[in-house]
Amino acid sequence: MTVSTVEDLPVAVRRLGIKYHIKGQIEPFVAVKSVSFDVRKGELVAVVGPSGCGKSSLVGAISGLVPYAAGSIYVTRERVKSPSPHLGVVFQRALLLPWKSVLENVAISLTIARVPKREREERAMAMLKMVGLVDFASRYPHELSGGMQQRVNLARALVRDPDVLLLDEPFASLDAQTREEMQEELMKIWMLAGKSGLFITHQIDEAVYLADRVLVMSAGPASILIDEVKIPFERPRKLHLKREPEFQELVDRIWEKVRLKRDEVGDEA
Amino acid sequence: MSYIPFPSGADVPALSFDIEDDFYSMEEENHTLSRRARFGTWAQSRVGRRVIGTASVLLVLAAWQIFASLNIVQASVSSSPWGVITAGRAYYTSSHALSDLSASGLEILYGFLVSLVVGIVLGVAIGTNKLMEAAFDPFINLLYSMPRIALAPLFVIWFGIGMESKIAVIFLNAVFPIILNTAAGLRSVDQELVGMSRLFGANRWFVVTKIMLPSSVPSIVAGIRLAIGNALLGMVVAELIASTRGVGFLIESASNNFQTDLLFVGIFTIAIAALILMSAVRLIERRLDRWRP
Ligand SMILES: Nc1ncnc2c1ncn2[C@@H]1O[C@H](COP(=O)(O)OP(=O)(O)O)[C@@H](O)[C@H]1O
Ligand SMILES: [Mg+2]
Repeated sequence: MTVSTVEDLPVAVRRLGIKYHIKGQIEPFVAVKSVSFDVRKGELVAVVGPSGCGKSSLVGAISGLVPYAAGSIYVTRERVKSPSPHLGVVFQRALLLPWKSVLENVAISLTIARVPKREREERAMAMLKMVGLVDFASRYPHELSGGMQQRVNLARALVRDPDVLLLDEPFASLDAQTREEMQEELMKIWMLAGKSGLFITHQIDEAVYLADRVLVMSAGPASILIDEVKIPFERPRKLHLKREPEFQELVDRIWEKVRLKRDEVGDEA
Repeated sequence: MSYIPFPSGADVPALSFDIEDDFYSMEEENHTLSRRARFGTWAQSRVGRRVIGTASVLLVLAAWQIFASLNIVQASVSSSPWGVITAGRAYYTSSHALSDLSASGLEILYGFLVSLVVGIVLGVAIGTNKLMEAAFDPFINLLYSMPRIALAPLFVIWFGIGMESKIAVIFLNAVFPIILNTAAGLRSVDQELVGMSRLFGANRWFVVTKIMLPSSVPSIVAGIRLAIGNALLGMVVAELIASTRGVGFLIESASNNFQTDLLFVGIFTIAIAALILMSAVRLIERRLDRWRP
């Protein structure tokens, strides 16, 4: 895997290791052993891997919430020690404050930064427009469907205008049809917003459809990156791309790698 | 009366695998609900419950009045609803009423406000900080499990027979449920929600005041409900021990003079105060939780 200097890279991860201390156990649990990769400007990189391989741990470490045991992480050239203001995170669960309106939820990072109310509301409204929820600004989260809540989740991550977007399985809890709609939506927003990003998923077709590069993670514990696949399709990509044989071929190739390498890693251990 | 799983008069339908048939037979049953079954549904409705509740209270009052008029025990001992009403009217038009109510009311107000502030602050400290939890744990355990009202005579020595000793007793009674419920509420806050807000730049103050406390509203309100009962108990007992004014004093002096009617006036005053405070809490809770469906 090519690893350059951290100059001008939105995200640079070097030999990252993540350990958890388990209650009543002396030896820490090694979730991620050693992982290195970059996200280049304007690029959307997907990480795929089986459930429990450490994808959320990776997101946690990059976002500055999970302390890491080894290696280093840079977000826009700054060493990550605490949550970076250049980062927007879309969580697997929507994590909306149930007592706040949709608009206030989207604006939470601006509220925290003491942005004046008017500007805050304007910017949050612009984000709601982008995700198609203007009419729902004054609703409460529980009045929204799962797909709509994830749109709010996305709008909230974008409102601070971060350089880098981290998405941790944002569509995993949605039904198949809503998920495809959201993938198409994200494709459009990606073209508009001009961000760099890391997209975590365990769905290989989702990774191939959305990403410029797909990184394959081995099964945990002590997971590593075992492969990188470049996705050649031009943007904007239409949903029917998924029905094309070239697309299917790529998905199958990555699937093979996930399966094959997982067995190899299993033999090694 | 035996428990009747099906409306009486209707036969238990035979098990059938013909869904459509079953469906229709159930509909028919609804039309032929027995009188008893229909009363059962009405009794569960809002209006039904109100009517039945009021009726049962009136029934008890009537029984009490009749019992008193039979003169089995002396009227001055048994008292009667009518006697209580007469005594209440006399009491509430006298100057004592204002003096007693203002004394007790202020004691409750101050005692409860101090409990609320101290309870929530300590609850937050204990619920979010392991060191604080460990430091306060022995005191809280001891004071929470003992009958704290036993400390009331001590407080009379320390703070005198004025308002201060009552406020101290009320505080000691009311503060614990607020501390414990606040701490429990904060400990069970969704940690991912906290992580989300930290990611978007929140500091500790924002996390506590804007994420953790709002999340804990139901738990804190439950603590406040318990605290109201405890506060009223503290007030009455403290006034019974030593006082010159207040509703507890009213009860005490009525008892000394064998004025059972007046004693009941005191008791009902406290009961009504409790009801008013509880509905105030319910209103505040509704306002805080107005986002709930
Ligand atoms: N806070 C934690 N404490 C202990 N172990 C954890 C913690 N978070 C995650 N793990 C463990 O780390 C591994 C990776 O978890 P996670 O990053 O959530 O995987 P993924 O997101 O790929 O499903 C799992 O084995 C999980 O049990
Ligand atoms: Mg995960």
